[in-house]
Amino acid sequence: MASITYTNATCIYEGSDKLAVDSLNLDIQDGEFVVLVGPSGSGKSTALRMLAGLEDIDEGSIEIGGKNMVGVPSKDRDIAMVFQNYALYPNKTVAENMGFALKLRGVSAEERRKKVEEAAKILDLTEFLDRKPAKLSGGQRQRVAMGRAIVREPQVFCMDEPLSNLDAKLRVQTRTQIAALQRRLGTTTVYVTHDQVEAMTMGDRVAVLRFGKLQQFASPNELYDRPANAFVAGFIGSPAMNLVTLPVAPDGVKIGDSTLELERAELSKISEAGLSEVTFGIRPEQLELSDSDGVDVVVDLVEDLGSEAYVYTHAGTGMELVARCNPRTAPKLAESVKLRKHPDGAVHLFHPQSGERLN
Amino acid sequence: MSQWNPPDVPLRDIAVGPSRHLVKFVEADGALWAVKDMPPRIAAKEYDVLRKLEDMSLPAVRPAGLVNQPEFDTAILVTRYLEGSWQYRRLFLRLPPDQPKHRARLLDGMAGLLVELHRHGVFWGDCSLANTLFSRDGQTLQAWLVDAETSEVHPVLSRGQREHDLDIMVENVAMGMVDLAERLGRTALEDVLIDEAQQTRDRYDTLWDALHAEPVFGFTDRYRVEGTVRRLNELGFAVDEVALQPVGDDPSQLQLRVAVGDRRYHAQRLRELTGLDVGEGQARILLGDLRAYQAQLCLEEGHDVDEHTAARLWVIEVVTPTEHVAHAAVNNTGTAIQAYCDLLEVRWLLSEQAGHDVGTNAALAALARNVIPTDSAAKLAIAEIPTEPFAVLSEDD
Repeated sequence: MASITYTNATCIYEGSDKLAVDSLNLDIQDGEFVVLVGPSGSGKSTALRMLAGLEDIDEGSIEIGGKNMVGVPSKDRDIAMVFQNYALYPNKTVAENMGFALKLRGVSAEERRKKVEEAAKILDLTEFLDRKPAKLSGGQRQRVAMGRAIVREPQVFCMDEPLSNLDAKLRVQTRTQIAALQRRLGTTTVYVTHDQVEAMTMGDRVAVLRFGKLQQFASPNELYDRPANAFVAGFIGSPAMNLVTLPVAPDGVKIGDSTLELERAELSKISEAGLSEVTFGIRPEQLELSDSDGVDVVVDLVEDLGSEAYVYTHAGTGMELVARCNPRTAPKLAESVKLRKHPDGAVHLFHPQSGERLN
Repeated sequence: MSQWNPPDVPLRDIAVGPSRHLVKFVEADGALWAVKDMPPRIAAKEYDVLRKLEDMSLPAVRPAGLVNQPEFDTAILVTRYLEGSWQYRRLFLRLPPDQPKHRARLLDGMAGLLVELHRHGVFWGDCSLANTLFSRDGQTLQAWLVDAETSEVHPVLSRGQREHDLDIMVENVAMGMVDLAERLGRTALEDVLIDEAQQTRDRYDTLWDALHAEPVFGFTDRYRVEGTVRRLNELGFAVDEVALQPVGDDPSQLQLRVAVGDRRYHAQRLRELTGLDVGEGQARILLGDLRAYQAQLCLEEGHDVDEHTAARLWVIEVVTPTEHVAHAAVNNTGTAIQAYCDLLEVRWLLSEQAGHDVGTNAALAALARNVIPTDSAAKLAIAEIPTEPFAVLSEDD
């Protein structure tokens, strides 16, 4: 097990004028589960591959357990790429499938058996060790594939979108298993995904990347509650946070004909920045339907999820707002309703140009 | 797709190894198609990679289409079944178990495929015998990538990416061979097979180094340019461009850089001379036969016969009549031109054994009776013999 430190780590793709990863700084604790998330082209996979030795570290450094990995071949980094190698061999038992990589490395039969049994115990595969892969379910086969990485007892697990080629049901099941397994093993893990739900449910901390640059590195709660900029605010959360650029009024921001009042501290931040407009953000659960006051909107769609419903609306200005409500009292399609901020609701204010958080 | 059943869908029973996704084979429009049910994002990615491999003329299964099924949150990737190809299991289940030369041909094919992919920026991600199909090409085996689920195409691969792919290949090839040995009840071979799989890395490195060497030599040693080009041609690679640049400030020291083209050097040459379109491995053998024919012709005519004239006569008088006889001798298995290549190999091997030229008829007879050296490449024809057409699945299967 080991800590990982990215210090201004940079990767330049040959022939490209853009940096695939631009001066990335991350401090990952020993035993931590960190998720790198971002849209396509954000540099998340490249950042992981720099750690694994599959991409060069062109500038800066990456340390594993205090040792600089610049120039160190992949095989000497004591990391395991989990899941990429799925192949299971039909004539060999589960135990033989799991222990084969150790055999190639010259580990004795006794030692192999010990490590395989330990891994099988963690993966709940003990009773299947003498069976052939054909007798296993899809989920059990996935666990055998995990077992092949676990038996090596690496310092770090690297996982690059490991669930992307599973069907939806197996994806959710395996997601839970990976998170639980990592906690049991305590092995430092860096996990890449484009799926923010996966990131939020699995990681101790999540690093959000965009265009090769780190946007924020924080716990899932912190990312959700205090996004560092408008990009993170819009990327984390489903449905996404409502983000609209609004004119500033003396006591708040103007939404249509009404004014949404802001705290004095928030107003002073806007004033300090000398802004006449501000990007205003509010999560769907912080908006509520109102009979009396609020913004006039028309309902475009009601998404009834059983325990909750999301109401997709637009205001007269064309501004779109999504609100969460009780599905039993949800409005009808094309109905005119009012939306207002929940009394305890938090608002997020961002600079309209730089996108940086103001409050 | 899990609900596709005969007789509504003309499914064919083709044995494949364990797969992450549901795979079925369908016969339609007179062709065989592989259809794979996958999450849409992965299917689209694999389709995209396969299209890129096709554009680069790399040896890989050809994509035919992608069917999105949003109502099931799934997609079906359709690829054309590679005619004349087979899985490694089929070869080794039909050959005597301990045949290192055949295994060497297989591993050369694997290493050659990985080098081809890597020098075009393709990271395979799951290189294994089970994800590869093989076809005969002269005395060599051509390997074809058939699963690109984990593959990525980059402008250039880093050393780390190549090393990682090689690690995966070695482990998978070793396990694939050991698994098969278990099936054949030959577990005693396990250590030998692991050793051989580990040597696949050396096969890869030798080829990679030959293609990427940038030797430095003195100004007066420029003959080494020709030597390098010859070596690459001998390996089957055409040389597109040669550049010599002084090293640093010393004009007497030159560094050679070579831009290597497709691995079809002999195939191109044979096509220029004869119009025959064959594999590189076949072309290498056929060009040798053509040269021998040309030399004999010169001797008989008492004067030089140019290469083009010799080539024309060789096709008419030698190849065309003999390839059909050779093909008939092997019960029309495989292609006629491959049967002709096999005949040449057998004739050479028998002549070497006998210490004199045994002639074509004796070689044909040996080929027909299958009394040929066990480690000859011609023995690989056994993989091409169809035991029976792919079984039509019935509703009970």
